[in-house]
Amino acid sequence: MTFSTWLPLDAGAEVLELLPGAGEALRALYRSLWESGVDPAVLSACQAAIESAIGTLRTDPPHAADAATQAAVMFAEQYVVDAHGVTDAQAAALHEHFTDAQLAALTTAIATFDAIARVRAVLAAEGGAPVTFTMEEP
Amino acid sequence: MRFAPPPGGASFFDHAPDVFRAFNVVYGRLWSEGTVDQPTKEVARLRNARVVDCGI
Repeated sequence: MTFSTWLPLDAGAEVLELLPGAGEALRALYRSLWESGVDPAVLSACQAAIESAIGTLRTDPPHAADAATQAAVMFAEQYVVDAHGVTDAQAAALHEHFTDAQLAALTTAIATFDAIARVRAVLAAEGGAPVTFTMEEP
Repeated sequence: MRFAPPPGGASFFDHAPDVFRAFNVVYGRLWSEGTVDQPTKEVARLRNARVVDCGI
């Protein structure tokens, strides 16, 4: 992911190199999410919904194709807006489609996607140096 | 409880131990590394916790 920033960095710099230890750990966490037993398509849909809500994705997120993805995306969007606002019905829908292990991983994934999007949003500035913030799936 | 921990676990996230472990490595390094002192990080943590009303 490339974006322009107000940070005093050279063009092409990698933001996470500012925090080499934590940056590598964050990349390891990100990779672990995709190996956690949650359908990667569900994770991608949640990530797109979160980035759209925060404003780091300038296109409309893809339409959630199935009930499991829809439940996960609704959970992700609620997390971004107000985590306390998750309803009993939303929680029940999640339990209907996901195991406890998948829900634990999905919740961590949503928190991670939210954090990454917010960091990029707060560091962004039009006209600044184009830099990267690199996360890679396995 | 909507999201209960597994038997013998302390947190719901114990259902996904590999992911939880990876998260805790990130969290620990954010506290132990970098140029920002820990009191400043703690102020930020408390402020964030209050803004999102996490019960602290």
